[in-house]
Amino acid sequence: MLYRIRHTTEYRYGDAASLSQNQARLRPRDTSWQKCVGYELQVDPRPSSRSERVDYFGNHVTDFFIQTPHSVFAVTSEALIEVNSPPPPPQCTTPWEQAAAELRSPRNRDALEASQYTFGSSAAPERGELRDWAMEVFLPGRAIVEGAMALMSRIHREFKYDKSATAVNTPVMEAFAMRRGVCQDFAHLMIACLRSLGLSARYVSGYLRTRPPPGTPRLVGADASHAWISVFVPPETWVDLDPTNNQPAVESYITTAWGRDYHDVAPLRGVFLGGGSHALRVSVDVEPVGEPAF
Amino acid sequence: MSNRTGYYGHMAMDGPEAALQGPIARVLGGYRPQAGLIDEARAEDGAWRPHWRDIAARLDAVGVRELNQRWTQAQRMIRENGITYNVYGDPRGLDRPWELDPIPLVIPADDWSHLERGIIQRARLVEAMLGDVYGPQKLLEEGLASPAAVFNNPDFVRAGHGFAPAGGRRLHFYAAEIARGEDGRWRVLADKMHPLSGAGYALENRIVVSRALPELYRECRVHRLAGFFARAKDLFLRISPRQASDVRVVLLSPGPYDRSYFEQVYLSHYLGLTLTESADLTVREDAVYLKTLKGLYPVDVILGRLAEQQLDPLEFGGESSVGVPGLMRAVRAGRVAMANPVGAAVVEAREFREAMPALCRRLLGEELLLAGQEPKMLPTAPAWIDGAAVARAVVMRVYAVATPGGFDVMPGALTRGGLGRTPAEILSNRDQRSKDTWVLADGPVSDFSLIRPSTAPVPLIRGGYYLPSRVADNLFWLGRYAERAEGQLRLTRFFYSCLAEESDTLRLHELSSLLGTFQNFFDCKETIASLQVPEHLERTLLSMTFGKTHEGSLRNTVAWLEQAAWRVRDRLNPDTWRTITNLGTELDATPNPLPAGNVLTVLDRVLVPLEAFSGLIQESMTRGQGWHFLDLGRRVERATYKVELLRRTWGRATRHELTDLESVLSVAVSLMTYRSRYQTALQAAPAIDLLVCDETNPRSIAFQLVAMQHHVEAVADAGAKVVRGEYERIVLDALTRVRLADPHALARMDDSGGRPGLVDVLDKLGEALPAFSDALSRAFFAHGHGPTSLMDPGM
Repeated sequence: MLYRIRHTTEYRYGDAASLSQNQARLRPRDTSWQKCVGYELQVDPRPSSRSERVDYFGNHVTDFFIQTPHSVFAVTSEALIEVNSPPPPPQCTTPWEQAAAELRSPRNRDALEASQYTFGSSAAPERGELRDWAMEVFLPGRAIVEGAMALMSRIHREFKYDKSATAVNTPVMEAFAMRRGVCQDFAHLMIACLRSLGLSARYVSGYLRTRPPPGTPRLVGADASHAWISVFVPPETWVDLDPTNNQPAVESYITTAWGRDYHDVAPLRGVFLGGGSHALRVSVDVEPVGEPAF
Repeated sequence: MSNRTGYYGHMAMDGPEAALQGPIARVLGGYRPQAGLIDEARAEDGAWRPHWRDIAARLDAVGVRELNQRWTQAQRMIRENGITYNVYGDPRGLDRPWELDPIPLVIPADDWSHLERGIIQRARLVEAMLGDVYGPQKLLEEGLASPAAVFNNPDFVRAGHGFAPAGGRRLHFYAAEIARGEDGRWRVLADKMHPLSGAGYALENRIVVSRALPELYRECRVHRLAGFFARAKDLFLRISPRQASDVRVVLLSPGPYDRSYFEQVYLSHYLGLTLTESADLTVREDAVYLKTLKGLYPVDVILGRLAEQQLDPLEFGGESSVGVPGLMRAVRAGRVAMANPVGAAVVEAREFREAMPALCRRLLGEELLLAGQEPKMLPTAPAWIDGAAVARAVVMRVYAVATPGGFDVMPGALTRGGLGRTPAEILSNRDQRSKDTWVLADGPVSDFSLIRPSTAPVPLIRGGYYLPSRVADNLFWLGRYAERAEGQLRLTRFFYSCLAEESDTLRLHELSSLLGTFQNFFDCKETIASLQVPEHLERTLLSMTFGKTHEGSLRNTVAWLEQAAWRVRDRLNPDTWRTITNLGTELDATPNPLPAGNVLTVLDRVLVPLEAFSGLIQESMTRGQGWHFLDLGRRVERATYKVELLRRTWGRATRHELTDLESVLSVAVSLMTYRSRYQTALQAAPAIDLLVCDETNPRSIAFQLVAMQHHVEAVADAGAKVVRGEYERIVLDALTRVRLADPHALARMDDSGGRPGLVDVLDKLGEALPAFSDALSRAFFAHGHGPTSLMDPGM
């Protein structure tokens, strides 16, 4: 299926900002099941320079620099994505303990690549408390995919989606204690749990289609950029799971970037001079191309 | 005070001990190593090791008395040069003088050449490891490094992966913590990638010790250190992305509160680098620039002494107040060379050190020369403590610099000695002392010097060419605080003399308007009525002068002055620096309580360094941009003070007109001038002329404005590009106003006793001066507002 994504991030400043340096991670990456066939990034005011690169995790980054004094700063990305159905989660019977052991001494390039996501990062640290909590569903010998699905369901069941409970930098242990949060918190928590077990999990940023196909419910997070997780299943498979909606992230999910946690994939990061206080507005629209809008 | 003087200070008095032992007591005569420990100087049988024989004999010939005397001198040099190691980052109190031991550690040529080969090999190995970690990561694939060693290592900088650093080298500076093992062979305790960390102290140690022991140093054929630093300078030119005659290399410092700030200042001066803090640098597009008074100047090489995670808030997140946003973009674009390349510290991890024998075989195809395991017992060497030579354990830090063919090792080291058996004990020991390290040459030594005249013609430069805006800002405030301290001092001194004088020519009840000025300048909450009671005034004066708890006290103004000076320490010569350290010392040395009469003596003593400071600024500082800003600060402060003083006193006539005129002239240091000019009784118009309009009186408002205008003209072309800057217009307007004023009109009183003419002029000036200060800072110190991070959109 072909999707058109339009993602606008707009900042309004109290005073004029003079210089601004930015990094955008908005271009969806190509994977085995999706391909970015068209992409454009519009920046207003016009940057005096911009350049493209690929970061350590393989995400597309646009660096740009603005020299024009401005009181409104808007970044709009438009992408055309061809998405095929990703393969369903493998019927893998590998016990999770064995998966953890294989990650400690990786034997192939995929496992080595995955091993970097077994270590705690600032937003998704390893914690004994989370390990204990995760072990309640990761029973001894349980297959890794089955355990991860159970963990996802548990988070969905026991946590309340609450936009007012957390902010972008709320530590995962606080969200854990409150049993509240948004997709970012749930993803961080699930990753932190998996890492605390010695498993490899990464943070995935992306989108959900805004209006669901007829007959299916609208998903949480469809009006903004969304986040979910990907867990590594040895020897070479990554399985994407969405704890916010309690389902494998398969159809209707479009991947933009991945990394250890949110900080590796923040869609827009910037530093500016002047400007005073500023306010932020984000809008996202994801529509299938060629389907009647109704 | 006591810890500053140290043992050597006492020894200078030459105890009876020295006299008892005859004219020449031998320095090393009584030296006995501890049983069971290897000693660098004496073998197990008690005989001097061959390379120590000559030095021991020469040290003995110097004698205890002479050594103590010379070392007292050397200690003074250390203190006065401000060589410090700032322990807790507090500019006051905890900034400790560098502890140095006069007896060098001596290493013979053959022993050293073995160590040198080992260090060079290790530096090559580390560079190869870095090439892999930040490149193909084959070591991980082959299992020679575990995923944790790289991926769970906070020093692995992902943003440094996947591109070749400017200049092509993966490692520019390498250092190793070294100790001799029980078997006498060299061991590496740690690998250090922080560039040249401690090398400046090694250099300073050499300078101090070679001056204290010139005959030993000359005759013992000790390798010079200068060649190593010359190769460091060559390296900077080689790795610079811009091949030009004006390659700019900056040392990026965390600032004066960093523990090794002294060393950063020292290295910058010695290597000819610009000492910068992150606020001095900015990235435009993908290049780095230095923000100077004359605009932006490109930066080619950065010697990074800032923690890597703070380098670039855009890349690494964190507070935007530290670091240079966009720096990593410039690094990736190859527009600036970082020494060392970002992320080099990843190989400091213990796991890498332990894996080095295997890594050396794999990457270099060689056997590792220097083993990595830590000795259980450190060897000792003689140290001069309490006037006697005693055995202390020693650890060395050895440095290497990248050369076109590989690496070169500094023939010397930063040696630290102290009580303890293990390296950890020595290096964490608060009482560790540094030693100079003498590597003996086989043949004659080259006395190459970095300051040897070169034959190539050098373009002449005058004035502060590349003065960073931040430095100009700090100099401006240094001038303001110095003047504020002087103003406060003169005011307290005046009141103390009122209290001390038996005569009642100046009676407190007649001084209410001047006491009002006192309230204002010291932010004093006491009422004027209570200040008119002598006992109460005396108590208040004491706390306003010496008290550290009251924010507005003279002591605290001096503290601000010290901090301002601290921030521009690299710009002040040692004499100037000493006058400032003396100020606080004089104030703090005051016993409490103190009779009013004695306080006057103390205040006079404090006035001396303050005036010495002004004198040194006038007589020793080149008339560059820095001087203009420093003196601008002083003039702005003095004018502000005068405006405030006159507005509160002469703005309205009191019943005690004569006392008002006399006391203000006295506080304003113009009473003598008045008396010599006018042999008559005091009158308002000539007094106002003297303090407001007279451009020849250095204490008048007009004099300050003339000076300000002069400075402003000197700095103007450097700043705003408009014809006349706002700050220029303000000065011109204020000066014109004062020039056009008629002293008699200013002195004229209205029916209620007010002087509307004077008050009007002073009010206008009272608005103009802060406006000037603001306009100046907008035009020149625009870095004041640092960058802000965009609100994170989140998910």
